[in-house]
Amino acid sequence: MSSPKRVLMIGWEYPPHHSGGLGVACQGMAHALADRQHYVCFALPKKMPISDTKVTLLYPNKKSGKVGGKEISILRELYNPYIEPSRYHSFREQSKDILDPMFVPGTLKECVELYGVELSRELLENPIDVDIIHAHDWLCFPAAVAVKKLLQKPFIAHIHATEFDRSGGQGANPYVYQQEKLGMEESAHIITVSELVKRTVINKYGIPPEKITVIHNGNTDLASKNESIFDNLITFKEKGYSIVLYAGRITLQKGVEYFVHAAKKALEVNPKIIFIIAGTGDMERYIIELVNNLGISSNFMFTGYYTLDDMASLLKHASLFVMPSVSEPFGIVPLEAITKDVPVIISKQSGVSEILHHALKVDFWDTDKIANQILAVIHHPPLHKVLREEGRRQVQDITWDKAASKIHHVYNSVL
Amino acid sequence: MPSIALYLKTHQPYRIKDYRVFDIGKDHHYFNAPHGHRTNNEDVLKKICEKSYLPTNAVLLELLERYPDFKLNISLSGTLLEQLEEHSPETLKTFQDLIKTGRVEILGETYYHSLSFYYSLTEFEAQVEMHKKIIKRLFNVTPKVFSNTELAYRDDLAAWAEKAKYKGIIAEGWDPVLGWRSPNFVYAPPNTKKIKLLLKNYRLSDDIAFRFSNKGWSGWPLTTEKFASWVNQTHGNAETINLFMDYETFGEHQWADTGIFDFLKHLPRELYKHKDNSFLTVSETCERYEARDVVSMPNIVTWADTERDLSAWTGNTMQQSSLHELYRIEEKIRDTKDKKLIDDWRKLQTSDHVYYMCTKWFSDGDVHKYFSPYESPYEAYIAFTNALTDLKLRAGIL
Repeated sequence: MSSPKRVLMIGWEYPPHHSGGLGVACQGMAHALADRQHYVCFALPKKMPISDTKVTLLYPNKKSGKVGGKEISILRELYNPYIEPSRYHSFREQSKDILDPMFVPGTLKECVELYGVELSRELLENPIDVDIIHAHDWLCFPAAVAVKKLLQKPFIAHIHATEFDRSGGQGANPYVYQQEKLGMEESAHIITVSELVKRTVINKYGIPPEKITVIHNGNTDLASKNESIFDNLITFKEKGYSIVLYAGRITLQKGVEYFVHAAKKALEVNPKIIFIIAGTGDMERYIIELVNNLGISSNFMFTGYYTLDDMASLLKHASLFVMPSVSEPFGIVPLEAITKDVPVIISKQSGVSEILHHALKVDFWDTDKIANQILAVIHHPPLHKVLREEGRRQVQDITWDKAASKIHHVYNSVL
Repeated sequence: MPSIALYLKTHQPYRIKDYRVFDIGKDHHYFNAPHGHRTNNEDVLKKICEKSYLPTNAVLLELLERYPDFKLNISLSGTLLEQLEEHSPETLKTFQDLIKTGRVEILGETYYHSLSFYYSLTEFEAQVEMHKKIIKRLFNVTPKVFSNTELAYRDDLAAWAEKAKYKGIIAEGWDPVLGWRSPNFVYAPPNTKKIKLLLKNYRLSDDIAFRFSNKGWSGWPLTTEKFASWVNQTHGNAETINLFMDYETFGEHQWADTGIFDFLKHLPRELYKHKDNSFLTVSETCERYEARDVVSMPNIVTWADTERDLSAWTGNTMQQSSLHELYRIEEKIRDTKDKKLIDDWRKLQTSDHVYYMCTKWFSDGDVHKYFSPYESPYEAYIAFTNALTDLKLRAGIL
């Protein structure tokens, strides 16, 4: 019943070659399952320079080995799980001269389908014995469906985000929606990272609730090597400024605009605040213009693309982290912030708010309230202290091991 | 042989609205949340009147009419009485009807349901005096037995109560304090001459107050026969059974559909079946029985939680700093001689405000224990602290 399982995980990205939370979550989950004595074979669509001692990595597309150092970072962009198919196409056009034409297919659609073909071929050539297939998000679903037919094993669809979350209300891409729906229907069971995503899967994809189990993500304490990158912020702190941080993609879904409007209101009460926006995205230019138009640019800093070390350094100096997402299937970054002793304000429209009690919660559109909360944390040390201490205590309890135990239950339920 | 002292305690605070930093210096009304908000005091009051006070008082009046020996004890905070006068005079009248029977005793307490005894004796005495006045005005009686907020008791409180001429004082009958002794006798606090100490029999009290509708409990379903048999088992080793609980036990903590009102209605008849059982007021209990021993509580004991301490009110830094700040400004607030300002300051002293800031249930993951009109302890703290900041501005302290 509770014996360890042999799992073929089908993923799209894996740290350190990841563009967002998906890769981090997959790794945390795979490691926790491996620590519980499950055998995890983790498939990726192409060769990436990764070494991992806990799981067996499987790269079905051998041709990618030809691609050298510089090109990889571009490929990583192309393989960004958050990219839209139309944008993928234009991006590929711009960079076709430096890409290996043998490797990069024409569209993201073909790329996604090729993954299934290549993975099936790989498994035919080098069979592996597995009990269950576990695939992450729509990019992997065509591959999972193909492999399911080949191996005749049940397939678990793990939903980290749906097309409705990614498009932020701008209209779902029909092809992506179709792949998601097909994957959900072909799966033996569905895991969603929050109740929020579960509701979407029920309401938008017509999946019966009993086929879905909510398993919240665990927290990963990301080890950083250099936390001194942003030590210049000390100058501001010495002058009595507090630092309030946003970190994430600059897209509609992330609600960065609300962060800016809340900042404007907070600054009217207390001008001694520096707001930092870390990250890049399609709304970056709009947000920079908005900050200028509101006349608060001297209180704003934009870091652009940030690394793990950048993030650690920013958190070292921040008094507060804000995640004002319009729709956030889970939202792992607040947990990272709390781990680094930074209290958080999170939108109620986030999966993480379902499990994180020691946080300030707010509707993303309520910029008055966000400003009120920002100022309360900055002005009242007892609030900062209790949020920090209770938050850290709670986050220690939000582990991948607990999630892995629930995943094991799901495996058992379909085998 | 034993007499039963039934004591129902009730109180309603003035909840602070979602008072934001932008309101500071502009809006001096802290307690006027719009209707429909969970912090709207009138909404909450009317709901509790309808669900609990009115049906409970109807049953109690019926019992007092039917059984000429039936007696009980109640207490009502000043902040509740004020709100009843304003928003539900018909409910206030049912409380007055109870008192008019002469068989319902009102206990003394602080007007603002505060923990002021442990922070400022001057302020505490002022609030007890205010409570005495409103009780005299509305019920024409003077309390003779004292009951502190949340039964937060300590030896020096008893010494104070004796000096203030109370016959008795009530507290939790907590095992670590009592040791081998039973709560079913009257005791004396240390360093006092006459005052009596009445201790809550928390097992029997909580059978009704907390466990009545708990289907997982071995005593469920709790019938009047069963409960009376438990009371009768104490015969020969008890003089008083002190059943102390919240008024809201009836209709709010235990909903009407659990059968709690029928239980209350039939309990006296069942207890009277044994001719040795009787009901007494707390004053009569103090007069009738000799103190059997001296019981000392050098540290604060309350009737709350498994810890029976003040940790739900003073456990975290937000709570401690809020209380500290409130009482730090006491003198300056009083110096303003501004009645409205002083009243607002006192309304902020109501213990509920710091209770709403309690994080311990959140830490246990036991969020359902968090009874609060706020979304989190943090929201409660933010509203409170912003209001307090405005109050300080008004008093010229900032």
